[in-house]
Amino acid sequence: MNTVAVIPVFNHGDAVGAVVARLRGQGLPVILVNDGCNAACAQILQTLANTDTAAADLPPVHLLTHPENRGKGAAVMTGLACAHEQGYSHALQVDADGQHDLDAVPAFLAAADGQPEAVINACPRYDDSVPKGRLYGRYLTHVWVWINTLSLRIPDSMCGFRIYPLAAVMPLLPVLASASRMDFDTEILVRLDWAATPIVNLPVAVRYPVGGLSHFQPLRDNLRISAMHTRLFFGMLRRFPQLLARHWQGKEKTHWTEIREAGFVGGMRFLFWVYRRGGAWLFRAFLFVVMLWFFATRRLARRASLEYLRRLHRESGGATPAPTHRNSFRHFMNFADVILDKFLAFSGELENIPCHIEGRETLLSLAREKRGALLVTAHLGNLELCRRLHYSLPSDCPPPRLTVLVHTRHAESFNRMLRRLDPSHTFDLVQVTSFTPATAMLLSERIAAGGLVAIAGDRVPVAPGNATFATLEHPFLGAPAHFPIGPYVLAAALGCPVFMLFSARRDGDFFVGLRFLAERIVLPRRARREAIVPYLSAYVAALTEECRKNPLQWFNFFPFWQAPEFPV
Amino acid sequence: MLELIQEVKAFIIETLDLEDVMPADIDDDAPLFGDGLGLDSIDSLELGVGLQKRYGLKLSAETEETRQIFASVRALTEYIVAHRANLASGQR
Repeated sequence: MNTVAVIPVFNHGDAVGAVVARLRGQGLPVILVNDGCNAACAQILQTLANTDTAAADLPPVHLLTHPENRGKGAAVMTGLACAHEQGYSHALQVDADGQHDLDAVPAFLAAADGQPEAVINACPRYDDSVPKGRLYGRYLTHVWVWINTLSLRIPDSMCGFRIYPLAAVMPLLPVLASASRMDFDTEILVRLDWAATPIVNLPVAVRYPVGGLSHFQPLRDNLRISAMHTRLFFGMLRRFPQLLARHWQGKEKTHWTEIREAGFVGGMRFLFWVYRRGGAWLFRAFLFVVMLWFFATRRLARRASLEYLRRLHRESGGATPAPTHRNSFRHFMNFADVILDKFLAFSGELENIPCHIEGRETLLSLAREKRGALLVTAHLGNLELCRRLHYSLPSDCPPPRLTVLVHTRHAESFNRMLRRLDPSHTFDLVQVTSFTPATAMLLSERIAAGGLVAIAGDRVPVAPGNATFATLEHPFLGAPAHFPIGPYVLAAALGCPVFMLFSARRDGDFFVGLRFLAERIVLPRRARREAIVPYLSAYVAALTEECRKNPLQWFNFFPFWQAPEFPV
Repeated sequence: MLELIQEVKAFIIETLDLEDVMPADIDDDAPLFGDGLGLDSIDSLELGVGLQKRYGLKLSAETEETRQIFASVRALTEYIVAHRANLASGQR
């Protein structure tokens, strides 16, 4: 192992000389990177480099120069590339302002010697000279790093004092190009962690030198750091399965295969973990950032939200929120709240929130008589609240089994998670994209056993050439829209009673409504579509009413009034 | 077997409310869906439910298996026979 110190310098002329001398005194060659310093500082650096030849018994000093200031990250990367080129295996990154206690160097070198493939990272121990604001700011970054590595492997990522194994670092330099400033220190560690580079953490004392020069610019650098966290967050999402697998490999090896096949469930569990560890506020803060990202980047979803708000605003005579970007973002955030509620529902923490149930008597009589029924739902509010219907039954009345038809391919994975979170398991998801006679048989059996089957009435699954999923045009909020006929066709095939199920959250309380639609839907072979119209009309009328009552809780973020395209 | 084929044909006509179709009109080997009898996917749902209620059939979600079973009246009848045999051996 041969190690070189890399010091990025930007106008730290006063302190850098002492730093270089201490490092050379400990036997380390030095690469100085002049990151566009002023003339005075450049002169000092040049002198330091020249003394190289004067002191033959000391390790060499090498000077690199950026003609213009390119940022700390860029300077370090220039130094690392040069170190690699010169044949060093490791590089010690040190700040030029003298804030790091260089007494720690031998311990760091020894650690790198013992584990040459690892990064030796510094956990700073601050004295009283540190501005408190910086400390709190650091904490936010710590939390983000824990999230983005799904681990606590990096307790502190912001201390610019560490030893890199150059073999692991070199492949990362191209992707780190955008982290050219204060974001570099954190991003390189996160990416090394993603690449499964071991991280060893050692303490180092840090002081803010009197009259010291910090180049941290609060607004610019905080924005850059926020952008970095967002970037890393999405990078983390992509690496989810691997990261989670590493998390569990050490503890419960059995999880490995399961995680690998179902990164989605891992994602859900991770969110749950965030909630558990950080509480509702952290979860909301987290979702806020994610939603902001979606709002900014998903033009189609944003437009769909605005179109819906505009139509509803007109339909309601101005009683609902106007179609502004602000309200549209609130619409997005309401969706985020639903995600939070789902977790609360799973973890049983919604039990204390009042839930107003309309149609409880109906449910009770269905359950007592063990009569199955089909429930036509909407993407409105939070259907997890279906569970509250069950809880509202008296203890002597066994709750009916609920089967929810969903359009997601993740249904099976999701089921598994539900079983884990809710062992009583009165809740089952079945995927409708593979709707076949087999599915019909399964549902028929469930209904016959007194179960409830829920299917959304406001979303059209994409299933080429399958008439079951064909749509019917019906006016909704002032313009024709396409609604699926699937629910009514299924109801007719099953020959069971049909209800509509809506849910919403208003003023903190939950509202769940079970409304009668038909005792039995009959569709004569020759005029099926015509026969569906009255049922669809009743559904659309009820949906419109619910949207007016809960304007920001209808979640169809796609062009709803456009004819769906079926791939041929 | 022949008897059961007739029964299944009558069952299909009754379940799907096929007017103007007599059991004799249905070819034992013609496809039920598409070109043959001309049933559509809505019919397939009703047929699925009917078969579950009447014969207690249960299929896996495997689409290929479903396609084979619904290939013709004969295929469907053979499946019902096999299902009954299964049940009988299960009870023993």
